[in-house]
Amino acid sequence: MTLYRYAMILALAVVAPLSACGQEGLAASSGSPRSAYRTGQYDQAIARAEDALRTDSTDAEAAGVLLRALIEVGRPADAVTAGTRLAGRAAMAARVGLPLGRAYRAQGKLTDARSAFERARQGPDSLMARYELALLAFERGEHAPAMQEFDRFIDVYNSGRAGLTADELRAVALACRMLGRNDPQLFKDALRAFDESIARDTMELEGRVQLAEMFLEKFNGSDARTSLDEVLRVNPKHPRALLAMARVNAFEGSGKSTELVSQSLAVNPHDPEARALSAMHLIDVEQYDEASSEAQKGLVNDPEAPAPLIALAAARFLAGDAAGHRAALERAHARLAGSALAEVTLADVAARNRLYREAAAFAEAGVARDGKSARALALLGINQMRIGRIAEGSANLDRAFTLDPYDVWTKNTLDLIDTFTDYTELTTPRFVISVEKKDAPLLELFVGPLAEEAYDSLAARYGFRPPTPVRIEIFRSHADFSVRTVGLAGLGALGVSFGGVVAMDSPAARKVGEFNWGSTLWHELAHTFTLGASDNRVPRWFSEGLSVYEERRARTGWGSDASPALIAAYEGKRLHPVSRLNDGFIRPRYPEEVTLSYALASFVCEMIEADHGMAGIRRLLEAYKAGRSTSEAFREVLGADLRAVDAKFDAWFRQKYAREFAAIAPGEGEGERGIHWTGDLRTSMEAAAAAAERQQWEVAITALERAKAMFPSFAGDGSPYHRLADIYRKRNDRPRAIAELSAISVRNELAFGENLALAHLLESSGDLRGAATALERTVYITPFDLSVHDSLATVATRAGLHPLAVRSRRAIVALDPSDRVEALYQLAKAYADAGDIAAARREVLRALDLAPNYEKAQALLLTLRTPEARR
Amino acid sequence: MSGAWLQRAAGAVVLGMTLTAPRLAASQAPGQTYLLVVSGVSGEKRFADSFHAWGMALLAAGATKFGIPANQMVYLAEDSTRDAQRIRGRSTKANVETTLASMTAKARAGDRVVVILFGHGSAQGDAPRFNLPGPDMTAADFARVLAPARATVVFVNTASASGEFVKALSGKDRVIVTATKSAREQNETFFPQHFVTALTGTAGDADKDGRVSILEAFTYARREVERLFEQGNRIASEHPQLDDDGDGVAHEDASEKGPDGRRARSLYLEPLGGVQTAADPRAAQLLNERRVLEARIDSLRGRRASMSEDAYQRALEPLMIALAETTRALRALEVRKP
Repeated sequence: MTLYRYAMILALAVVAPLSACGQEGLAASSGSPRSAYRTGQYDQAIARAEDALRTDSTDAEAAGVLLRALIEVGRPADAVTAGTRLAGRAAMAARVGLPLGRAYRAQGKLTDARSAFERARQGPDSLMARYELALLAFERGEHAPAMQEFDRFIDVYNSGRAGLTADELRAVALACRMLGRNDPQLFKDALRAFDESIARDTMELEGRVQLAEMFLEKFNGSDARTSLDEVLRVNPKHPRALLAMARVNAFEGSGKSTELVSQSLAVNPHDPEARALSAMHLIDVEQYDEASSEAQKGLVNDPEAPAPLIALAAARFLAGDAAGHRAALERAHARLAGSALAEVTLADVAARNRLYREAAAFAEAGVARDGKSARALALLGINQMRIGRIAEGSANLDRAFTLDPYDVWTKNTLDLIDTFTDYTELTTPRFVISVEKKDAPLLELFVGPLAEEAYDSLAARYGFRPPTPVRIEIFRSHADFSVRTVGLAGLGALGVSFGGVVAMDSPAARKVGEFNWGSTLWHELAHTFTLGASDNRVPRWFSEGLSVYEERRARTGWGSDASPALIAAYEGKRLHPVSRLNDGFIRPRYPEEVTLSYALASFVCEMIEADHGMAGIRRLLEAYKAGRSTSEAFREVLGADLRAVDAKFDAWFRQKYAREFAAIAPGEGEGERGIHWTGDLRTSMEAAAAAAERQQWEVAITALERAKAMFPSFAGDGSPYHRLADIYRKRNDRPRAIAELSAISVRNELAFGENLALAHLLESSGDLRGAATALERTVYITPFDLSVHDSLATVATRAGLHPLAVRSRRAIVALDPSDRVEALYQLAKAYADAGDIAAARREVLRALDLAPNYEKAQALLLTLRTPEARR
Repeated sequence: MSGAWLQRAAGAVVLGMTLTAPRLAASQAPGQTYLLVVSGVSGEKRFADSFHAWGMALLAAGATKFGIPANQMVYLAEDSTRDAQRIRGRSTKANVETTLASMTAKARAGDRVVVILFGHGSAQGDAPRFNLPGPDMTAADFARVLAPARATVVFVNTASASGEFVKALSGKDRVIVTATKSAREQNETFFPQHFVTALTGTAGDADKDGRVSILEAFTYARREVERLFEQGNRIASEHPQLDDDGDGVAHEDASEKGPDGRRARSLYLEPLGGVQTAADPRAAQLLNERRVLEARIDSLRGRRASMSEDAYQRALEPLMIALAETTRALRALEVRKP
């Protein structure tokens, strides 16, 4: 029987239409403190509420608006002062208890908050006050009584649903959300209660924000965005809505998150949650000291607020400040009894910074603090998977999914694990390679040897040998690779290195010519070395730069070289300087920025090696391992500060590509749409195209030769080499066509068709070894093309390259050809040519086993018995 | 060409076939092949060219490789003027029906009526059809015309949306091959080019016995189609099927293991003789030795599951060497004959 795993979805479908929250209703009460408050005119709201209270000090609505507005703009102390004054009147004590309690809470004065909420229990906000009290108890670690109290809200709802106010229904919703911890179905009840609350008071925004927060918690960014869009349409300054929207953008991988946090902080500069998120953004770009300062700003109103303390702990951890990390974490723990929140955040941050082992350790500590934390279990499982502890990871993901069936990341990963039965593991001296069973016979011919070669090459360069076996997982489906990496489909990357585990797309996962699996594998293995050599503390830009640089060193034509787009982006100041290059990876401002940043970073690495040798690169990695920041590492190793390195690289890069800079000008109309370029190169290309149109081939050739000289590394589609090759092929000028195709094939790692065409021309010119080299290049683009292996085997045999012929014949057999007997016979012949008689006999017997009367194979079998053959 | 010393009990001796596959030959009753090739409406020149090339390749192989007499082969095409000598007429419904009626009438039990369609198919309502100039022919139309056949019927519809033909045409002593699994698979099919390649060349001869059975041609084409989609990382839009057990349920994985494939395995387009015999006593002895060796190889294969690969190969090698030497001795005898 097959068991199916379903992820639960918490969706907006049942929530009241947002049009109910229209501007018409607001207009009707414009001028009131409440309308100013709702539309984000906080200063006016405060002023109007104070005016109203001066007129009538028992105006409960004005009191509520005043306190809420003061809290929302980050003035809880003023809210306490005002609330205390208002509570002095007996009639108001219970009525202002709820906002007053929240004001105390915002200052971390939890005992006072509790007293205020107790007073509120006697008034109209009784149910919400009960919720707040239960929440305080829960946060103190009194989980059982708190959960019992939350459970009573269900009775309240069931016994008097029709009579509940919008706020009371919201209290029920919030209680149900807490109860979802024990029974995930209750999140749906929470959704229903939110829906009814919103339907009862369509003007209330708070419920929509809280609903959005719940959607996001349940991995539904889309509905969270919808809810928040409506809130922000009414109140564009709503600080919590802006913060929640920032989180939605971060969840969806959008770079707008930072801007939204800034907008939220502009309204409430002291909001601990917003400061914490802002600090996290700085952590993402590896500015740990700045992140620490940012987190401290979140402690202005509440010096022990957990969120900024957790962010501080994360920043100190990544800065290598163990004492600072421990101190911040202990302070956060003081307010997080029995909670895994800090560990979940730290695990997440560690994983984002490629510290997977540490992420697993944090998550494990989180599970120890709260065994019901689905997120901690999920992070534990996923990071165990990343460091190769597959069975433990899988078990923990199972536990996580039982607790939180809304977690689509965990669900996807578990589904992927289920498919592992279709995979097999190949072993080489230093690697375990997980591949789909049906592809294993083919890929073992290529992946293992390349990985072993990379290991030796990189170990020699970095003076570091990663612990073995290194695990390489190759996924035939890009979606599976994506799930393995980030838990969701849609990742744009081709491969990822977690250090000791590398995951990547199979060559079959994409269309031929979309990527070079050989350079991708080399790139990821280079990460394994740089991560290992730095104890996973190498910054992203440097690790990526080294990986691309190592690609270029591995094979001619692999890895990014200078392109017109790179030069145009650099000249147009669309790329960050070295000192801020990480931003190009973390917060790209336009689609190509990430790939161009990869290329630029590789040139920084090339410059460092040119100036300081490989020893300089090794020492930089050691400095990162010792916890140095880039600034400190540069000073220590390169003897220069960030600004000096920026200037030095600028001069080096401009000198290295002086000819190319002269030929390129940044195009107009650049923006989020990407990079455009113009200049002499463009002019020459256009002149060539016009001449070709008129069939003035000599004019076209002259223009293309000029273009080639301006930018020799430009060999992408439509390059001068391509156009010249076309012209020469049309004119049957074989030597020149060969020259142009050769130029492409050593500059463009994706030149599949060009290499095939080149091989054909070289073969017909008698250059069999050249043809074999060209065909071999295509195997790193796709090894799945049977005809390529057939051509390669034929050419290699003719050139006397017998080992290559054997590998190609083995590849053909591995591809399970329709004429298997012939393929086995040809393999036997190749072995015989290579002098491996035992293998030849084995294969010819396999052929004869399928076709006993195949006379060619019979003849070969008899030949292999002769003394000549044995010799 | 083979010498006179080696005779078949009946039937023609085919080039290159002299020494091969007596086991299969023994199970093949002698019989004549009647071949009808139909290319339907093309729609585009490139389709017309492909259909024509495949049709001509089959006719050529029919005459040379399969030894089918010219009066037993008919090629009907959309454009009969394209090669008036070899195209017998336009592929209208009337012409197809008349030709099939004539063939089924002439063919006797033990003979084969082979119908191969190139073109486009469709399904309107419940009626799967093959598109012809003028009225189309439905699967039911073909079933009606073929109903009287006493001979074995091999019906190969390589068109798009051909899958539904199986149900209508399946029956005892019939092999039905379609390029698609259902009428919903309506894209251009890649199956026919590979089927024709397999049937007319040597690539489809999986067991290297010098002949290509219907099952071998089907398997070759199916795998090439699979490879095409897999290599292009595309979702397969055609799933070739074969039905030969008469149950109306076709299988993509038809093989000699069944349920479908057992009949097609021993069906060839060439007329075959029965068991090889030889007048020369030495040749007769060698043929006998070969049969014994083949039986021992078969027996060894039966025990394979219980053996390691090395042990199996060690046991296999002397048998294969003996078989190869027997073949060489037979060849030597052949060379010595005047």
